[in-house]
Amino acid sequence: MQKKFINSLFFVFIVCCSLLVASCQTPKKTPAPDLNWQVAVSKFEIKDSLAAVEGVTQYDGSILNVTHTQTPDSGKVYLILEATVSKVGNQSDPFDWQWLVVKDSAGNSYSRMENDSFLDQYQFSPRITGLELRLGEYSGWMCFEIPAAAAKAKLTLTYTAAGSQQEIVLQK
Amino acid sequence: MKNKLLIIFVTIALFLAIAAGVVFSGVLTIPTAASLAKATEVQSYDILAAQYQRETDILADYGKGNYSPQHPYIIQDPYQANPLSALILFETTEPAQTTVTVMGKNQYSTFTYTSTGFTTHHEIAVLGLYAGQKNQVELAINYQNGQKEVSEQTVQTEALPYDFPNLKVQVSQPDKMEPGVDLMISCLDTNYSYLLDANGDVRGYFTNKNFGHCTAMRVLQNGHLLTTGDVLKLMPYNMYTLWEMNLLGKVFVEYEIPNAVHHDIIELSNGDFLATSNNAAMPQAYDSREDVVIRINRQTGAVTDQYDLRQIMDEHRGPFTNYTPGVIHAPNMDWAHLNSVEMDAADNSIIVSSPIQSTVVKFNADSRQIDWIISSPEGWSGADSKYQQYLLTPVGENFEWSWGQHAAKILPDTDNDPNTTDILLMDNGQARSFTQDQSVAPADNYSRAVIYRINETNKTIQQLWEFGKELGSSAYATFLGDADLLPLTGNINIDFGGMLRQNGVPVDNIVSGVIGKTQVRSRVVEVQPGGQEVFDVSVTPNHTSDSETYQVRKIALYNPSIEYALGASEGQRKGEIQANSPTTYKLPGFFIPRLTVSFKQLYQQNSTLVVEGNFLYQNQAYALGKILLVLKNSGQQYIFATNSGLNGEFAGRLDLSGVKPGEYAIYVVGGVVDGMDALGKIKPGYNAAGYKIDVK
Repeated sequence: MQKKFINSLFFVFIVCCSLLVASCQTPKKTPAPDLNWQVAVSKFEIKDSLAAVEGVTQYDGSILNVTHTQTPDSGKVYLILEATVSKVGNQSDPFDWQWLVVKDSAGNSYSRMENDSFLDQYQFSPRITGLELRLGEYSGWMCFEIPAAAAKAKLTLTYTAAGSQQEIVLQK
Repeated sequence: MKNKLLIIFVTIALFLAIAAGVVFSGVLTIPTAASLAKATEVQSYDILAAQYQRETDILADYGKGNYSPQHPYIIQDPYQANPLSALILFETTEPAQTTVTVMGKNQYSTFTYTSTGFTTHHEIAVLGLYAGQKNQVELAINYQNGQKEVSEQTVQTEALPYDFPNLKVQVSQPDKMEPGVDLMISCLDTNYSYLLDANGDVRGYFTNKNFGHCTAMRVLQNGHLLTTGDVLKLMPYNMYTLWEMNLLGKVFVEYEIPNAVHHDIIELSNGDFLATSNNAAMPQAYDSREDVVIRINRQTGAVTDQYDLRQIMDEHRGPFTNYTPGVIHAPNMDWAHLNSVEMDAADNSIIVSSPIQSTVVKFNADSRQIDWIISSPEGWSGADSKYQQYLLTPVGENFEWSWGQHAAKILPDTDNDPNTTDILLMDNGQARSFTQDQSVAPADNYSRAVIYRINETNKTIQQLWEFGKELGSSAYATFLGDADLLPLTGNINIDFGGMLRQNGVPVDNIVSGVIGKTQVRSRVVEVQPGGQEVFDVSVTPNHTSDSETYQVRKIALYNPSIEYALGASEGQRKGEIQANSPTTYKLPGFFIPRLTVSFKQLYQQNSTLVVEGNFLYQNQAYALGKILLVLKNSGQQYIFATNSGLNGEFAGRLDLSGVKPGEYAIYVVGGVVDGMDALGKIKPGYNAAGYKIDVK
């Protein structure tokens, strides 16, 4: 009886652990051969707003908390990715941000925000530059603005430039 | 029974003795393999080597393709220093000369540069791109055989950073302005240095906020830009290095200056530099700062002469200033705060400005004898009455003395009188009095640019021109600022650099502004000699407290020094590297977890460790503190003092040459001084910093 109970408990524990692992926001990497530019996503977050409290020290040593907020357009959310973009091939083609898009389950594409420099203020730092990349490796955060409804379903990140076809499943 | 009690007592005593021995031996702070594994490795970095590698990588990448004028290789922000710049590379089949044009909104904001020779390999710097736009860049190729070719390119840039200051242009008459761009130089490390065109649009900015702190940036005879580098010796702007660089961010020469440089640096006619500086032993072994002028040999980088103002003026003269809070027994007395230096080649003399003393002093470079002092007659009594002989007598109408002034510069001779010298300076007007009870309130005060004519024979001073008083307190800048005569138009560029404001009202709390507790705004005005404004831009903070403009410098966006060959050679390093040697300090035997440390800079450069950071003591910033870095492993420990600043700041460069090779955990020890006496007792803390270093 006791052994059965322990086995059940162990089973529940294993199931919980599996669920916990499955719920983590880690993207599924789809390796693609012969890439010129490689994108690797280490984590991502979906936020309906960003807030940061800045502690401003006063003359008497006390801290005045100043709150900063940033919100997406109505009906949208921020998809914030931490990624590494690396030149791994031998061609000299640049990494062009217009070919890096997030796709939702309906096949709609969303480009990186034109100006996501606010990320630095909300501890998503460093931010990857949005300039065209030519060489080297760049790690940091970037932001997409996507419909809130789309954020609840399948999302993939694709880079579709010549010689660098890549698809990363962010969430199923 | 008694024996049993005795045994228990002895056992407990023995146990306590062993425990105390263990605790106080420091064995508890020896890093374990697990703690080292978790710590972040300190990276090696050398800007000269890194930039050379970058150039080599660019050329290698370029070599993988075939690039022509119509299909050039474009790399934006090639040195990761100025995002509004790019390099364009291509080959031509025949030798050709190129003209690059960065299209602007009008003729005054369109920039063109033609290369000096005919080549088949082309490396073209693109400067002056707009932010957040598809920029049109035209390449005109003129072949030696007479053929011409034009190539239109588009360069998309990013928007300005979220914390870039707000710019409000109130006047812009480009046809009446001096050609070029305004280089807006920052003072504090929360602000950017950037380029403004005649329309007030940003056409370049440096992402590194750690260089050129509160120090002039000047275009040298060779076309390079000279300013301070990014290794801090002492807060908030005494920098160990000088950079000879360009607007792409490429550093051609790094000069190591043990004295550290602040505020001003000029190039002499023979190419050497003259800079406002310090005694090299400051701050650890010299009790004052910012009171020495140094001469730097351009070829070697060595400091070849020092002009110590303590041997020329009285460091104990104490006018009222707003450089508070007063710190009892301040470790480094800032009695002079020299903020400009000028060489008068006519009589081999040096002119320096001391805003704290509200004096401009001219002295002979050989004898160190004073020629004259621009100063109100207030405060030259008692022990200082001996200086009265050097004070100038005002003549003429509408004369006013300058207070807390900046940027005293000799103007070209206009009266053909060898006995006179015209001086242009920025009269900040701080306090406008020697004593606090007579000082002018900020809301009633003003700042101005002023030209004085000094008759050196008669020892008189006359006010020739002024601008700024009419703006009243709206442009009152307690500190920082500049005034430059512009050579082509005769206009004067005026920088009201440090306008301290609380709820929009002028205030005078300089230190509060420097450490980010009071908002600092600025305003730059270009005026014609008659006083008509042709450019006026107000700068206000955006997500920070600071939008100061230490100086403004009108420069040409392009000059021939922008032509150089990528990968030809690594930048040069000259001068003498100074770094703190290990010191002694009685380390606690166990951690006292009261310090929270964050590093702005922490990297290994050759045999030194560059450090710049902030600490909190029990989650609170204190005015005075002291931080030492401890390198420790199971067999060795080395303790290094850093140089302290206000409000939990610390910085320095540590000498690792005597450190035995191996992996070390980095700890911080020290703490805060209770009260405002720098010599007071330190409340200690002792923490792991979360970093490790592999010393080779």
